[in-house]
Amino acid sequence: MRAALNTLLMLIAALVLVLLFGFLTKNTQAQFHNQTCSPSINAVYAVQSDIHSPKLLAQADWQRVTLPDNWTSRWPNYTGVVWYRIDWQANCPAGHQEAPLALLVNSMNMAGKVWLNNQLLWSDTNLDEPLSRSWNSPRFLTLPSQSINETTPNPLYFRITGDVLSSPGLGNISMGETQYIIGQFQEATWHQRTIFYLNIILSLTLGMVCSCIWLFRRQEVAYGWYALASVFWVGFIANTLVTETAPFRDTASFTQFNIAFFTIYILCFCIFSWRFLNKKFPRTEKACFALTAILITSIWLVPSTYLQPLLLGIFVVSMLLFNLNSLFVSFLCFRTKQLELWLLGITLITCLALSAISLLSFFQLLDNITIVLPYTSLLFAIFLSITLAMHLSKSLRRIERFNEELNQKIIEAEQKLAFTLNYRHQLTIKNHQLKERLNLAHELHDGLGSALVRAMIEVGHAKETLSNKHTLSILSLLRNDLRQIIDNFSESQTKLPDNPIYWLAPLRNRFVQIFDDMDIELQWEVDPVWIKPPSSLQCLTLYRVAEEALTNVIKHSHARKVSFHCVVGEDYLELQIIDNGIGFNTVDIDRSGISVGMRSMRARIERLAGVLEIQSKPGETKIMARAPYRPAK
Amino acid sequence: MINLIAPVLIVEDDSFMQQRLRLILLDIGYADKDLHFMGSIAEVERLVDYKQVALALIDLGLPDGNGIVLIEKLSQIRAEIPVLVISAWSTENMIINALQAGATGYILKERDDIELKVSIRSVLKGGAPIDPFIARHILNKIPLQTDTPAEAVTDKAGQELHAVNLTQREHQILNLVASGLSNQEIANHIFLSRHTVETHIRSVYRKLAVTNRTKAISRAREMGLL
Repeated sequence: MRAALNTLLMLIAALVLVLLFGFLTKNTQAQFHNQTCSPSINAVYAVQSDIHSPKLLAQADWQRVTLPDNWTSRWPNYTGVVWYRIDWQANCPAGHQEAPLALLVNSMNMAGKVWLNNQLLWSDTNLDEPLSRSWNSPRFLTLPSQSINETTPNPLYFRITGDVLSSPGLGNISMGETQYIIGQFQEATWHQRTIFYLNIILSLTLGMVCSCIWLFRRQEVAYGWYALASVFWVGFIANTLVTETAPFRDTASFTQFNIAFFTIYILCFCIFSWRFLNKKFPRTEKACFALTAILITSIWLVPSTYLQPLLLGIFVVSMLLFNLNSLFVSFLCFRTKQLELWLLGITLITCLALSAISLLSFFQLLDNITIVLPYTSLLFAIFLSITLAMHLSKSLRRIERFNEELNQKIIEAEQKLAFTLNYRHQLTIKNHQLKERLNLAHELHDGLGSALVRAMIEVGHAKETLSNKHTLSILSLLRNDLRQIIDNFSESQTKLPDNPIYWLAPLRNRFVQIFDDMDIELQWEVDPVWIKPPSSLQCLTLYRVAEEALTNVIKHSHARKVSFHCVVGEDYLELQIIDNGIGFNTVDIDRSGISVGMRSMRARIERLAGVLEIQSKPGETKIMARAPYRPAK
Repeated sequence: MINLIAPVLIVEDDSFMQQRLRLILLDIGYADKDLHFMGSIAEVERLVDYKQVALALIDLGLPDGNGIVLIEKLSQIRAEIPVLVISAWSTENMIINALQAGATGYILKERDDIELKVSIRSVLKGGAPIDPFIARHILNKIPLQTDTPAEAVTDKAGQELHAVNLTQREHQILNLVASGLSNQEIANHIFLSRHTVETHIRSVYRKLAVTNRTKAISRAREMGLL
């Protein structure tokens, strides 16, 4: 995109250079002339042709005129054929009879035919409507020496067919040595043809660039209007280059369209200049639209007799509008401090000057001023090139700066986020630690604390001195409780084991070795899967019950056979520990150390809304602990 | 019957615990002259010839350092002798570290005398005690041997190759241990002798120590010591 735009801008710049080069070099050509013959024009006469035989040379009523001649000043409202006769003398010095002479006709408005001494020199293609258009085409005609009478005046006859609307008549002519006339012809071609070609090419190029910009970015309305203006400008200025009136019906309708194009061009250009300033004048714009519409419709509605002044009026009004607007807009531009608007202002002021000059030359108030209007396109090419380049670099800079800002902002946001997350993380860790510590304190208080209190009561209220064995079992209970609390807080124990087998595996491993050593047969049956996930309190309590029960078996039972069952029920977890030992009775329970652990366990199971059943007789002791999944509070 | 391997080195700083261990060992059948009690690492360094030791019971929390240092030295000089860790706390990391340093088992101080006696006796019988949580740890840590050649590590002599992946059989045995089965039960379950099962377990322990050594070597390389 950027590269394409650059290429276009370079093309425009190249065209501008070509134009400048041509402008500078045109005057240096054909400066020399070796005037051996010096033809002189004696007189110019004009006459309207006979209405009934327009093709025959009229014989009477010749009137003397000066060139360039616009016959409407003499015969208003005359549309038709006019004959011109130019009497001239070759004035060749003796011995230079062979010198080639040539004739330059700057314009024939519109179509014409040329004779020298009854010899036909030139004829346009169409001498009837739709006419050929020779009004802006310089003609270079060689004067054959055998047709020139060296001593008497030589009449040159022009038969011009013209339309009243387009300033009909005959333009300047000059005669002389071929070399000299060629130089003049080239200069005339530059002013009347080449400059307009360049103008059209530039206008079309700029229009294309602008329309592409508008097509890709619809909010760039100014460029859209400029493109439209270019189209109508080209429509108007093509008038200078077209050599045939066809496909228009006749010269009058050609002129009507031409003026209409010009009017629309002025409108489009005005709106472009406002939009470029980012301004809208809704009421003025509506008025301008209405005015343009009225003017254009009037072109076709007015009777043909009033057409000529009307078209002239429209042209003048449009030019006035353009000039007023140029003044207004450049005033607005110079009030701002933007370089591109200043450029627009300068361009418009220069255009104003150029158009004023061309308007003056249009009304022939200033003579011999070369047509300068076509150079406006050069100005606009420069203006638009600079403006587009500025826009481009400005937007690129903005994008780059935006990227930088964005990166900076991202880094800032990242840092902030990292800081916040880190802070939050620290906070979470602290909270977590605090919570864990609190949990541990609670656990110690509820578990070990209550066990300690119970132990103290037991010792304090004992009726006799407790046996070592009894004291020891109290202490070992406390120790085991402590172990459990610690295990509960170690990492591996916080998670529920995958299945009941893994849950009871440490217990099994520990006791199976002891039983093995003591030659006690152990039967171990554990249901393989959880039905519902038990709570951790449930697991811990039942684990402790099993530990106590198995310890009792080792210490007191003298059993030879132990069976351990873990039943995973729908609503509860159940442990059964059955041994074939000597058993104990309730009286013994109190006295031996057995009671200390089991009573404590019963209390814990009951807190879980479970039951602990102990059945004991010699040969079979059965301990059954059951805890429901959701303990009632 | 029990083979009373002697002399026994006991490193334990607490005098009550020393007394307790003495009674347990005497109860097992040792004579006082077989038992050498030490109270600190420094004392061991000064007085003990590692080559004479046949069985060691080592406390981890010693006044002048961690007992793991002693276990490492001992297992380097006499890799074949049983080393039991006496631990006050059963934190898994501490026990696993001790096993990786070369210990063959551990006993918890807090257990009843009868349990300690059983543990020591099982070591004397040539058994290889192993806990479910250790089995699970090893299963997580050492990958199962696949068909492709296992990662082989040369030991320090450079002669023996230890495959550090678990064999199918070792994997199976560890799984059973993790379910809580005793070594005898495992032997019955997979129709091997108890001795074979315990050989496997010892092999697993060696691999654990090897992984530890590999880790140590690679760490030493990273630090530029090798």
